[in-house]
Amino acid sequence: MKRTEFKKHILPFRDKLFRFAKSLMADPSDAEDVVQEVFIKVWRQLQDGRQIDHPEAWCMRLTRNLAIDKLRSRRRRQNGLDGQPEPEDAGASPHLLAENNDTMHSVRQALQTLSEKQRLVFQLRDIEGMSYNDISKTLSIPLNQVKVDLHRARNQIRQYLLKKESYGLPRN
Amino acid sequence: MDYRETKQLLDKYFKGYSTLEEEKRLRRAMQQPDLPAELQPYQPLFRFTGNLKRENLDEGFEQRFWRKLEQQTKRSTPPLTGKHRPIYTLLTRVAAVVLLALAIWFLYPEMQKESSQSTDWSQYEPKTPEEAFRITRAALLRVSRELNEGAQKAAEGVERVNGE
Repeated sequence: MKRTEFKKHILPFRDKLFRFAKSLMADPSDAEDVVQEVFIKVWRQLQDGRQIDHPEAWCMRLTRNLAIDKLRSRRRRQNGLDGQPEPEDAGASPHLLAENNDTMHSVRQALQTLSEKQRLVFQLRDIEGMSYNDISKTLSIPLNQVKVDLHRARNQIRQYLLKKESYGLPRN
Repeated sequence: MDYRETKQLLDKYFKGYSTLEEEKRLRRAMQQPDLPAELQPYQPLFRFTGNLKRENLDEGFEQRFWRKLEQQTKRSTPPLTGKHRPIYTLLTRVAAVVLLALAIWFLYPEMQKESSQSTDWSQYEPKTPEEAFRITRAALLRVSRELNEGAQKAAEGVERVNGE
């Protein structure tokens, strides 16, 4: 594949991959590193003549795997300390510093209550606008599981927001 | 979109039955400023997802990516993996076979020449009956001498054994 084709068919996924990586890594510079590594891998595999049926899902899957690998290796380096930032730590990222709206913060808190899989399914559907089929391919989970996870994720967020509305703060 | 339709879409959304198109419409409707009180608790959710959707990489990303790719390509020659390895192995085998064939092609006639030269016995053939008689007698005398020497050595051995 030539540069022009790569620019046309693969590079347009960059923002989507970045947001997906950021949902896993929290730190934007780490997320960008992951996206660059994904594109380097994709470029090399395409140069080797590999055929890709669904490049977007393939890139997303690579992003997920690389981000998880990076998180794991960071966790190992920190001698067993949990490398994933706590919800409070996540608030220190540039994105969240800009996002000082209390209601936005409450949605982020609601997302933190979800399991990782539910959060990823929610992200891919409600932020990236992906079909159930593509989410299933990206996360390597059955189609029905995607629907179940999404339904649970949305309802959990709904409950969280309703509680916040009723009591000012959600009960843990 | 009116309130009732928005409410219906919101119900479908939370039940997980909404299509992508319906979700787009719902997102647009839920970001309107004058929402009914019943729908307001859910507005942050749709504003939040809308905000995240606008979170993009900066313009310099592409340039940084190509530079990194070039640096990595210069730094390391890619290892022989995957599809490359069998091709290289095959080429090596073909080269070895060609080399062997060439070696045989050049060396075999030389070997044949040498072997045919060494088997030319005609020059050693006796030319006259006298010469043949002389050669035969010399050969027989030599055989006779060797046999006598053998018998003598055997007799000496037997005597030594008896003496002990």
